[in-house]
Amino acid sequence: MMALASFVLLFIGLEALCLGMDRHARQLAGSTLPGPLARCARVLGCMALLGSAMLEIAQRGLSIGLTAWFGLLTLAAMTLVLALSYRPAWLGARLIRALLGRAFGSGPSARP
Amino acid sequence: MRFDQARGLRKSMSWLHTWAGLVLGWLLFAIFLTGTLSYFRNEITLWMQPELHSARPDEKGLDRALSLLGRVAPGAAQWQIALPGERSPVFGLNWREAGETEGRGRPSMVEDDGDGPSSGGLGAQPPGPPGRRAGRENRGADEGAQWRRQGPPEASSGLEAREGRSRGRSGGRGAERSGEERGRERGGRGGGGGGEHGGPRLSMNPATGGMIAPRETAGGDFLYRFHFELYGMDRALARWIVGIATLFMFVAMVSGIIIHRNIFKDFFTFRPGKGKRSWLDAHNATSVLALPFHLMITFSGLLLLANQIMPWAAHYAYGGSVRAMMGEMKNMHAESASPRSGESAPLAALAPLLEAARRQWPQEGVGAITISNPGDANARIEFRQARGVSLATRAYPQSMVFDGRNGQLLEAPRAAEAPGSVRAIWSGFNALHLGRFASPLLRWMFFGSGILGCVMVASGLVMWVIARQRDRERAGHTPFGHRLVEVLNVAGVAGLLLATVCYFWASRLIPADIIGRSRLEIACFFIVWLLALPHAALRTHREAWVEQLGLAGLLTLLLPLLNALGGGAWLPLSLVSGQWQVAGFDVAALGIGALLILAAWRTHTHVPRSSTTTQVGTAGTQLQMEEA
Amino acid sequence: MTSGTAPASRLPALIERTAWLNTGLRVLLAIFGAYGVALQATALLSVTLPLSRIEATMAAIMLGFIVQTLGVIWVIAARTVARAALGIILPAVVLGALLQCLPSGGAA
Repeated sequence: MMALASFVLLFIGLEALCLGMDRHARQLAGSTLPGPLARCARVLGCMALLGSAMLEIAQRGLSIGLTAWFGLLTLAAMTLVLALSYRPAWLGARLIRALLGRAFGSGPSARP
Repeated sequence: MRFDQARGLRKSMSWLHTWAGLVLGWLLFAIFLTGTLSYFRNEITLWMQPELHSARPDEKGLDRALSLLGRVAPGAAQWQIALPGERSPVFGLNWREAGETEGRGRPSMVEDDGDGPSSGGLGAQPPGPPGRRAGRENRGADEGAQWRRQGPPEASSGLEAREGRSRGRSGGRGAERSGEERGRERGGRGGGGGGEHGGPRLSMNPATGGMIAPRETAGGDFLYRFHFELYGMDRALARWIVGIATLFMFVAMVSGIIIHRNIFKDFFTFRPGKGKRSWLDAHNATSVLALPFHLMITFSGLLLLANQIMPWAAHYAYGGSVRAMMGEMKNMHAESASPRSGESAPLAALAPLLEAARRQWPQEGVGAITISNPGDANARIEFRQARGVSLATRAYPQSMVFDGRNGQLLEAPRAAEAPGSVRAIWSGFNALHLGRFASPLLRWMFFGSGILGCVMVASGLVMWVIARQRDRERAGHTPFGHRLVEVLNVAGVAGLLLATVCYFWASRLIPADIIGRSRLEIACFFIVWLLALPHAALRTHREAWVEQLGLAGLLTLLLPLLNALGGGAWLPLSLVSGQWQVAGFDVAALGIGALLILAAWRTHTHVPRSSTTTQVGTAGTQLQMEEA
Repeated sequence: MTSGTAPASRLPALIERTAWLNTGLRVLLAIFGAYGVALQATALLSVTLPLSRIEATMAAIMLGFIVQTLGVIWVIAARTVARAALGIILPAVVLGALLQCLPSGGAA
């Protein structure tokens, strides 16, 4: 159960990192995020990764916890990569666009 | 690339990566695949022995195990009970008669029972494949024999015909040899039939208390052995070959990291349907996303073979006595065997003690129980964790010892003394490679990472061919070297997959009571693998891929059906009754089979792009689009 | 490095220019040279590292694999075969000399 929690946290963190990268922001949000927001997404993503690592370590001890974390990281990243390529809609692309649209009016830049 | 011309580091490393990866790539794929499957060695063996699928958990199982032991081994000096658990549905029972010397250090014994391949309780394997009695051996033994093998040649006694030269100075001192080694020797000599070192071994159905005699099978142990000792050749030689392949892998990985310019920028990048670019993306993704695993598994693989391939350190530091180093490395301390008192006394009730031990280790659980001097006033009951808690101590399971008469706690679980940092790193690598500490979740993640590793190697091999498409178009024909790689790719990747699944099929189709069936199973494996080669050579490249992948996929997909028809617990039943070991195998077979069929289908329907303008053009536009 | 001015350097220059010789020598150096240096390094480290004997041995072996990998990378990346060879032979000579000077003399 805790593993599921850290997986979700990891996944969200990785997705936030994705949003902070121009290429993937276009896949997810339709456009790149403005600089400060992208930086914010990256910081939040890193924090989520760190949080999940701490969760795992707290639960399983340092060595095995880190091992489990790396395993979950691989799993989450693989899921994310496949979803980005084949099913971006499952990643809440629409939600992200809506949120960004609300925050920036018509959006930071023209959408395709 | 030409070495006599100016070139950047990346270019040199790219050359290194290509050739270090290609030369032994097929062997690496085989090592990676069989090694990955080895994470489920016990489960695979269990799947191949449908007799054991009928076992059901039962609360009274422990009592039944005790009474069974009381009947079959009343005078034994020690009983060992591997509890059913995550990795086995049955009790594994074995015992040591009073006369037998133990001569084993404690850690190795723990490994043996807690982790031996048949351990987690898949206990009573029948006398396994003669000459391949992998089932009774464990890593400790491997390590042992391996270090001993490094003995200086001049000490060769010639007594050990098979490994005489290499076994070196430990050759004639039978009395000193550990039980593990005895086991290994019996196994290694071929036809030792059994190679038990702790006495006979039975498996018991918890629900009935009856013994189950499963069919003979090479099981997961064959795959496990194969991944570092190959098959049918001298052990030392095989370890050298695997060690060299591992070194190539390590070099290929490091050079791959150097040439991968944007590890973080391309972290999530996979662009399907773009020919060469997609293959590169897939290769990068499978490599980078599981990079910690790949580096760990390769480096720890080197360490596990270190005594074979880096022997000088031990020779210098220990004046040639590798045995001394071995002992120190394993940190053996002799077990304090309590003598029999001669006064008989009933054994304390185990259930409350087991309960106490389970309370002590709520996460790890209890894996095995050892009862010394059963029935004697001086009996001792030892509980051991199913899994260790720290990698720094080699994931060595803790234990609790109780007085066998009154059930008093004699020895609380000791926190293992913290090892030095170097030792902790070494132990950590070993423990990670072997994965004995892994809970089911972790085990599946190791398995998944291993699969990614297989895809990494396979995609790298395929890319060698794809990257040279333009050369072939320019030349107007396929040069011999290219064709050779194509054929070897098909036979080495798809052919091995096919051979593996045929191995599972063979294990069910060969009648259960045939003598030497494990040899037949192994023969099936190699015959299919061997046949894949001419098939790949005779068919066109694409036909060969499609047919071998498709057949492998189909057969894999049908494995659950075979299991059901072949007397095993079929999937709905195993799911409902919570037999996760069997259900896991079937579900994995469904998943992997579907993926293989998908791969075959995609290869079949694939419209090849010529490497001329179209592909470069689209890739170029893509790049511009992305960088705009 | 040796450029083709002096007559003594004609052979190295030939090796540099002949593709199969250049590549072949590098491959040999990478496989055997780097391994040899790594072996020597493990031997030396195992007796000189200021750790307990077992830990020194373990550390030496782990570092040995790193040395080997770096050696391979050096041999392949070096600008010329001569430099590649120098990068293997020099450490080999130095390590060999140090190993000879060891008080115990070692066993191998």
